[in-house]
Amino acid sequence: MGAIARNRIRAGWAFAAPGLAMLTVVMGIPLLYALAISLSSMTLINPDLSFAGMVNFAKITAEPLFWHSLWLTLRYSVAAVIGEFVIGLGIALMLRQVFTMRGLYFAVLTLPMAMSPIAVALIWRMLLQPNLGIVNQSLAAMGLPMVDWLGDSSIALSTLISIDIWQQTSFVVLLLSAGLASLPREPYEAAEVDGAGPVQQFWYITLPLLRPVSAIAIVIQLINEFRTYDLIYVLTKGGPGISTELLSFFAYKRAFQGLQVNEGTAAAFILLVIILMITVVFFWLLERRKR
Amino acid sequence: MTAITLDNISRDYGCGIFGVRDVSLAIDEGEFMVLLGPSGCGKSTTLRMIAGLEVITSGRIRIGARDVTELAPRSRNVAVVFQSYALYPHMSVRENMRFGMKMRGTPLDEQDRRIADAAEILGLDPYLDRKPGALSGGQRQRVALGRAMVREPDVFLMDEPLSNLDAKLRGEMRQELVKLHRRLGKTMVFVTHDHVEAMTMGDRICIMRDGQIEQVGPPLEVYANPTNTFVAQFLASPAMNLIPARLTAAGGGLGITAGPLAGALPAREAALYARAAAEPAILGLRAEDVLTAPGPATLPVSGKVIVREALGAENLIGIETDGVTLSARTERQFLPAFGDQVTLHADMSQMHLFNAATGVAYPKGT
Repeated sequence: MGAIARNRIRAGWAFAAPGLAMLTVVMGIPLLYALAISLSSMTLINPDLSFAGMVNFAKITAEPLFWHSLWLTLRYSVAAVIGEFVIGLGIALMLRQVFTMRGLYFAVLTLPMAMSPIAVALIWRMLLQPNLGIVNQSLAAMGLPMVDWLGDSSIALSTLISIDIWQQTSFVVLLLSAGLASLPREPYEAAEVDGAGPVQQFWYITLPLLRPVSAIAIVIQLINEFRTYDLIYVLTKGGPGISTELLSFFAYKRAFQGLQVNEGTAAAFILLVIILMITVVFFWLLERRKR
Repeated sequence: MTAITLDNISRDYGCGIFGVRDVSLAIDEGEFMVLLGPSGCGKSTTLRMIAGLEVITSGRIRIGARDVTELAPRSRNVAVVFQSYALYPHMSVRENMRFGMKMRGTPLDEQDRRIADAAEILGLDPYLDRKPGALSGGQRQRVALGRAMVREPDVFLMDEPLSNLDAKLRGEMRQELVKLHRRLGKTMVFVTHDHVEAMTMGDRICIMRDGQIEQVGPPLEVYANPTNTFVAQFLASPAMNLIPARLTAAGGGLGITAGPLAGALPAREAALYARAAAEPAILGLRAEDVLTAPGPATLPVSGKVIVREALGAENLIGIETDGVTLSARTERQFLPAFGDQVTLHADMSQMHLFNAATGVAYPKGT
């Protein structure tokens, strides 16, 4: 290795060192500590970090409630992402035709994204309040029956998914708008001359060309949805019953309400592995796009 | 019947800015028409208006007997070869060619047959399953042509299709396009800013400037009789030498004074340009009409060599005298050094004469 290459490597490490040190302190050490807890017999009553092997993992994966939560998380995430993508793509396509006050549209659309999920949840809790909330009041004014949006176990999950879609769609709109803006114009002109109408152009040109950006948008949102916690905490606390108890909330309840911090951490680790797997797919897609 | 008729077409961008202004042009059935001009002259806009990709603010366009002015591009039955090729990047070569036929509901076996034919003609057989990203510029260009061919359109419209190719490939493709035109016999409109392409490919060329037509005609005729100084200069490289001149009656004939050039005109030219006498004029001389040896109708001009381009088969020599630069295309043996004082001979029997105020050529006819 030459002197120049050695110098470059040294400089690279020098620049990376502060960031790496920071990451080690705030991410690496807590992660290792969490891993240690998940493999120990530690509870909040008995803080004993002695090694217990895979006992905690075995115990929670033997529980139907864990699988129920995992299944709910999957349903929640997939439904929310499909909703966000379909609505987001529709809005992005419509915005493509807008030329006046485009900035204003984008500003309004990105407002929900700029809000903290806790604030969003609080606002929706008021809007959806069974008796006094504006949604039910409006339904009543129109002579329609009131709905217990968050208290009815058959629709609580759907309500949460809808609120999630309301908040997160703007991110998908932004990503897809950027993707649409970067599409070349020429293939559309060629398609127009070739005889393709607007629907065919969308199906044969826009969708395929947008595939890399779509994949990225979907994976980012999947990761986001798998981590959903704040909405649940503020709006339903996993209820009614266990009808909205996503895996993240399952882990929280197990660790801090059941005081079984070792089992809660094990559940959180399983969630982490799922998210990591999605992330790997995400980077694989990014790499493939570059090639 | 697939002639194209442009009837006073304009493209008005508003605020008095025109892309194309009152252009009328009749392109014959089966003709290879070249639209030639510098950047921004409106040639591509005209082509796009024929294709239906550009709004026509006024005027009518007919393709064959049909008035297509209000028709969408897909209803005009034209095929366009774009400068950037505009291939569908996510489709293979085969799918790129198939797309237009699929949109028009051509039967599948017919699609396969046409793709096979076009691939054979264009040498695309080995690449049919590749995507455009895995092809060279020349191959992409062929795919774009193939995509146009398989559609079997009434009219081919080509927007500078060779400009992204290297010089050698461009020369080859030029010949192939001419062959293709002879083989298919379809009406083709070809846009270029390259006068060599225009001269070598077109049945007729249409030279445009500032959104308007300057001259239309067979290439050699336009070359021999440019209607104005713009056409004269644009249709050659090096551009035609233009020198401010004045014609004066001298001893029963006509004399000319043009910068360093002075003397009597040959009898034929004296008769032709008699009515230009005493008007401020511009003398036009093509580089190949500035000779190294005196001839029966030449006037000598001496100057210092300031341009010296040895091209192998010939040389381009530029001399300067009295603030006038004169380009000459000379035989390869004539290769003076920079700064040499040389004498060249302007062949006045090949001269062109333009009105100094308007730039319009004095007619050579009777």
